[in-house]
Parts: sequence; structure tokens; C-alpha cells
Amino acid sequence: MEDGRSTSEYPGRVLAAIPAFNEEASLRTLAQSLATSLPGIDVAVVDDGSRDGTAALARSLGFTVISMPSNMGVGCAMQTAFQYAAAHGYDAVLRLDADGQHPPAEARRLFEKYAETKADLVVGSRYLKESGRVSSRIRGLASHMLSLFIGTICRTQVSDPTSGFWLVSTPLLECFARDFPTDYPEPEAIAILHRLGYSFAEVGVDFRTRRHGRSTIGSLDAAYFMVKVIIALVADRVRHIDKRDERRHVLRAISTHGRGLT
Amino acid sequence: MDIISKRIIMTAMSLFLIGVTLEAVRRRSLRERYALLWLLSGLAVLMSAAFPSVPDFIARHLGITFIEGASYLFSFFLMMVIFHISIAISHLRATLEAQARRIALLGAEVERLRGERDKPQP
Repeated sequence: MEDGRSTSEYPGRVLAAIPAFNEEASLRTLAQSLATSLPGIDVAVVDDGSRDGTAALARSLGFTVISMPSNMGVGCAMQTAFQYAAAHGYDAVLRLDADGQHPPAEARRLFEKYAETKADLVVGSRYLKESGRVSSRIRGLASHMLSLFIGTICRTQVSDPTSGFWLVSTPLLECFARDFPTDYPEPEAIAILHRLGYSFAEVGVDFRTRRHGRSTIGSLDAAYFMVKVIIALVADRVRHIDKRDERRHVLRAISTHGRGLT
Repeated sequence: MDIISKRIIMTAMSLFLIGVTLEAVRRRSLRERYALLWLLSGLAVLMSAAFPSVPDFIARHLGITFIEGASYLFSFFLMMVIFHISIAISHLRATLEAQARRIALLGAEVERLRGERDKPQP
């Protein structure tokens, strides 16, 4: 996979990273849409200890398979993908969910947003309209409260803090390879960006509803989830940050020592 | 039960706790670093039995009995033990995650090399 082509829309080599836990049923459909929408893109499936044939299927589809020794959670799986991408010299990681709720065709919007803003993290938001205003269709108070809370911490609008449809560019990629939150990775990572000097942008995308399996947090009581996330966010806010994770330090480390030193 | 019998029972209990802890350390089923707080918990009860002025002091100020005062002291150390264990678990979790990531990446690398090796030579 060393000679993987870059996608035409992104100025560099992109790795599509797909964390998967028992997603055999939906992986084939995702592979088809990837082949249509992002032909030639390198794909790494991080199999997070699946008990079904996820890994074997991913291998037969020609994807790189990174198998976690046991189910470690999506944060740990994603950090593994970031480490893989950094070690193999990728410039960006496009994160897609294995259940197909992030249509590869919509990745174009993330690439466009990157071209426009050069943001270290571009997030595909379910709740953002093209006009840049938060849609009124925000499901549930919990999600809205969470986005308000993170928005206050980051001093910027975060309409969809739990979205996993991400485009992570270097140097943030190197930072995430070193250190990535594991409890509630998406909102926690977004909340810490601001403190480390990384930039963030959102773009409205159409999510597809899940066709197979169930979401890892879907069955949890939303309010309970929100309380736990807010506690984690407050902990992140008061926590001492590692200077080596700051944007300028990571950039300096890359120019001195090269990539993938995690 | 008079105060002397209570103190004798407390002494026996604390000596038992200290003995079990030391034996576990000797058999290497408990690491020294996790044994320390258990030993301190046992010693707290032993000291309460030997020198009743401390639990007496607590009891007088909280308006409770001597034995309740001693229990408070013991509970405090138990809470310290539990907190210590929570920290140890968090640390273990971080170590485990780092090792899982390493294993996963090495596995992917082995698979890639195996694929290259088995590729038909041109």
C-alpha cells in the first residue's frame, strides 16, 4: 500500500480508515461505494476484535486489515489507524464508519472544505446546512446541549460533536497518533484541539441511516451519555496538556525527525 | 461487651489482616506497592486497639461510640485502598491499549511482508 495514489481532491496521500466491530454485513456495500466515489484510495480497516468475518471479508476486498487483539473501543482503534498512517507517510486520514452512515461520495465535501480552509480537522456535520447555520432538526436536547458546551470551550461553532466523519491532516495526524482520547473520542478530541493550536472546520453532509447492526452509543440513554461526556470534557479542560502535542511543536518535530515517530 | 473485649477482637482482626497481606506479598500474589495501604489499614485498627485515644477523640467529637470511631478510621483507609486501585486500573488500561495498538500494527506488518514473500516472482 506504500504506492497508494492520492485522491484527486486532496493535495497529498489519503488513507481511508474504517474502524469496524462486527460489521461484516455492511462492509461489502461500503467497499462498492468506495470504489465508485473514491477510486484508488488506500483503505485500512481496523478490526476491533470482531467475532464475525469482518477481518476476512475486508482482506478479500483488498483492504489493509489492522486487527486489534481484543475489543479495545473505537478511540483505541482510531489511534492505531493514525499510527499506521503516520508510519506509512500518509498526509491525511479520512475516517469512515463501517456501517455505511458516512457515504464515501460525501467525502468530496470534506476535501473541498479542506481546500478552502486548510483546517487540521474537517468534520462532516449532520446538522449543518450549506448556509453555515445549524439546522433546526437537531435530534434531542442532549446533542444540542453538548454542542453548546463544546462550542463554549472551543470558542467556535461545533454543530455535530459526536460525528465520526473526519478528515484529519498532518500535523494533527501525528498528534493523534501520539495521543488520542479513548473514552468519548470525538467530542473530547474536538474540545482539546483549540488548546493545542489546531484548526477546525465543519461542513454539512448527508448521513445515511444505519442499515445493519446498531450504533455503539445508540442504545445508551442520551442524557446519561451527555453527563459523562461533559465530565470528560471538564477533565480535559483542566488537564495539563503535553507541550509536545502542540501544533508548532509537532511541525518542528516533523521537520527535524520526519514522520511517524510515535 | 466491655471495652477490653472489643479491643482484643480489634487486635485479632488487625493482626489477621496484616498477616494475610504479608503472606500475599510473600507468595507474590500481591505487589508491594498495592500492599502498603492494606498494611496501613491493618495498622490503623491495631493502633486504635492499642491506643484508644485516637478513636476516642473521633468518637467524642462526632458524638458516637468508641467502636464507631475505630470503624471510621478503618473506612478511611479502605477508601484510600479503593482509590489507589482505581488509579492502578487506569494506568493498566493505558498500558494495555498501547500494547494492543502495537500488536495490531505488527500484525498488519507481518501480513504485508507475508504477502510480499508469497507473491509469485516475475
